[in-house]
Amino acid sequence: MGGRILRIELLRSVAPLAALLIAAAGLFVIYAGNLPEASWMDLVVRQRTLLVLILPLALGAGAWQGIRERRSKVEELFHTTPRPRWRRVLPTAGAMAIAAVATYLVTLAGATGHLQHANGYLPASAGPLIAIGALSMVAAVWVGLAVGALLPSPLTSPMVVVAGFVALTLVPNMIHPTGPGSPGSPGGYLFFPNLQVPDLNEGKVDTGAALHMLTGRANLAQALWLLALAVAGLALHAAARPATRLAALLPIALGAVVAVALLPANLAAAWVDNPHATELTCTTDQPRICIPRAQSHMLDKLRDPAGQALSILDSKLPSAPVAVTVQIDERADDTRPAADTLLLRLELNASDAALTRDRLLARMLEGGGVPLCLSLMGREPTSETTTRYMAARLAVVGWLLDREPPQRGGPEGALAIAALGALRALPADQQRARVTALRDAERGCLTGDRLDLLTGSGTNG
Amino acid sequence: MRALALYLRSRAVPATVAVVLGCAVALWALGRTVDHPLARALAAILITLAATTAISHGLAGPDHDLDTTAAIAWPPRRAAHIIVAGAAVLGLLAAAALAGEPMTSIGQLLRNVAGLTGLVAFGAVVLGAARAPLIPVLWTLLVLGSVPEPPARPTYKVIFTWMVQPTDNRTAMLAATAIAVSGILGYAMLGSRR
Repeated sequence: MGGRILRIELLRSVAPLAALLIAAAGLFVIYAGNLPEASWMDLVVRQRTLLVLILPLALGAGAWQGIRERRSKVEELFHTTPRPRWRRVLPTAGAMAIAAVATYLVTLAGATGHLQHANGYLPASAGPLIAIGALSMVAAVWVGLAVGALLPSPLTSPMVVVAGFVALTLVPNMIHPTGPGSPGSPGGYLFFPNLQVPDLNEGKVDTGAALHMLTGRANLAQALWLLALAVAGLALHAAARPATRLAALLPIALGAVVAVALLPANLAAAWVDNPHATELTCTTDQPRICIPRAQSHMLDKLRDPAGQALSILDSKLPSAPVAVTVQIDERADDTRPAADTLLLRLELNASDAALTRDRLLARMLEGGGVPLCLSLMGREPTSETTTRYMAARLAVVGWLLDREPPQRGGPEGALAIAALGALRALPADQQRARVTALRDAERGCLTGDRLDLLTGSGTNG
Repeated sequence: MRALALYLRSRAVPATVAVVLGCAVALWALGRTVDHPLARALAAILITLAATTAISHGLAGPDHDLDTTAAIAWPPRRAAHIIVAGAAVLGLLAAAALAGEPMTSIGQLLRNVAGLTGLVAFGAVVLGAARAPLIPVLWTLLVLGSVPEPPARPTYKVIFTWMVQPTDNRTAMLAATAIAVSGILGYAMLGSRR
């Protein structure tokens, strides 16, 4: 019996139409954003922040459904039936909840088209974010149902949409003068189901949300708070007497108390680094490549150039590396790789243009397979020290590949060509010794001018 | 006089007036509590939206068939109804928004009330009075959700985001006028869908 009514309500209530409209609105806004999202985590967080728009609409849909009996002028008729109110409204509420969850998931599924790498790393910590987003949709439609039933006016629905939007957009600005993005904003922002993301990369290069996660405690607090709201909304909608309605508000107070106890004092404390995202995973076949999980989608593009780079190094230099390890450029430090490892720095969201075979090969061979020493870079990127340093590293690429050094449009290009010419003028065993010396200097981040090392007046010969 | 009072009552005007007054009070209260200039502009747009959609309630009588049997010319009455309603909303909101430190300019308020009233009227023609708020609410929320800053070009984007454009943007003003005129004309001619 209940199942049949639920099926009818799924078809005949406002649920399917509202789900369609809200999902379309969400997708419109996601696709209207200029750039595709860089990672799954960015997309999941984007959808949660988008709740600012979606939740008011869900609230309005609930309210619209909540005034159905008044609109159809059957209120009095239904009051005369002996069936208790809660048994009557439960299938409707169930249908609305199913539609709400479906809306959230369909929007997410549709939004994957606006994701740069759908085969990229999907962290487990995205699961709670999605589940809580869907839960907030259920809470919104049930609270909407309750408001609609309590204030059965045709104006209720548009008014709760606007009121919801005001609450989600303007109240955060009232809590803290500069909003949630500023340091020191309170953990109370987590009461808003639309995620308020603090400045995750304070003082570091921006990597979006990909390397972060919300703590379990913060997720739990949000889940309990939204569950309390949902239960209160449903109870308020199902209650027939004023006394029960009052009692139905109890979960809100309870949820608020529990959430306050669980929430951190500071919003930034709720976001932590996701160690799983930066952990290296290694291939088992040759060439052996170790890559952080967050960049694992680049693996296919790396295989060929990695194998090539390793064999070039093996044929031209002594004690060449046998494996490639990828380091996230934004998180790079001067930790030196082991002698058997070629360390490659790649931007977290490196574009496909940067991942062509030629460019990857050149990057891997730079400095003889050792990444740039950040400590040796001059303070200004255009200083002469830096230019000479870069030129020496590029000249090595040219020497290893037996062609002109790759040009990046900087002043180091011409210098690298000249250096390569000078290097090639030397006897073959000297050339090899000098490139090895440069690589060894790079492996230790030793100070000293690398261009002199490569082409200087033979003190290293 | 008695006919007018009965007409107003049948069109739920007391409830609408109460809601619009509530909106004006909310706008005034937000003006006192919100400091950030962008948030103040957002508050003005949202409250304008709420107050204008409140008009929708009175765009149809309780009995559509009864209205059609009346031997009176409805188009001028419908036009008068919606124009007076829009003007009343504009007056109340202007009083609230411009008292003290202004939240928006009178030009922007006029444009948004006119355009949104046109959308509500259009919604009543297409969807019926009860569902009429759907069009202005969805449009405005989509604009607020998808554009962090009002685009200055291309033209179709300016037209799409007419309600958030600065006061001196002629394209937005023209778009709002076109929406207002066509919506009100359409409603006056055709009335609300049953």
